[in-house]
Amino acid sequence: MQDASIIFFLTALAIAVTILHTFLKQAGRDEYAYLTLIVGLVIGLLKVLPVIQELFNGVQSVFGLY
Amino acid sequence: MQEIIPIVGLAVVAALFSVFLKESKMPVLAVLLALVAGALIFIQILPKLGQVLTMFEDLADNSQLSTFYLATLFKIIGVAYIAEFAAQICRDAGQGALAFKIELAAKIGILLLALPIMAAVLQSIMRFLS
Repeated sequence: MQDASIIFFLTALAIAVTILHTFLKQAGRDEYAYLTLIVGLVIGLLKVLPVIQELFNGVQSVFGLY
Repeated sequence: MQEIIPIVGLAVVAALFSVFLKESKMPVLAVLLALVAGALIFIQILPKLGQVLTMFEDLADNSQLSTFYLATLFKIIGVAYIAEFAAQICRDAGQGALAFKIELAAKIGILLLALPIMAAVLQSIMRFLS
């Protein structure tokens, strides 16, 4: 069973991405700043995926869906 | 049921963080956070729900009821829950049209699941008439 630490992970990820984005934009590297957003989104999705899969598997087994 | 305290704490923390994430550079993470919080809460109450459903199955077994109808009912509830979960997330993300399409698909799926029961009801009506 997943614990609630993924919520804190997502918040920390958003803070890190925001700081990096602002920093890179100030330095004039707009393309890297945009890349930061994409990488942050991919990391977030990869972290969320197992939780959603666990939820769907649980619902399938409890309600007898096949 | 002392499990309500962690669930409430999880939901409140997730809501506060979600407000914070909306202000950051990645508002999409707020939607992701709501998704994860909802999934975690439901994962926590799934075993209890399984106990309730098992009790209903035992009741149906004792009353000589066909378990096929009860299994169909559980399937319908499961489909409705999954669809509602996804539709709410879509609506939170501002895609009301997509949410409506998910609900439409779920309604058609539920209709398909309920067809054997409807056929059985119609057959018994025909038997009474003839």
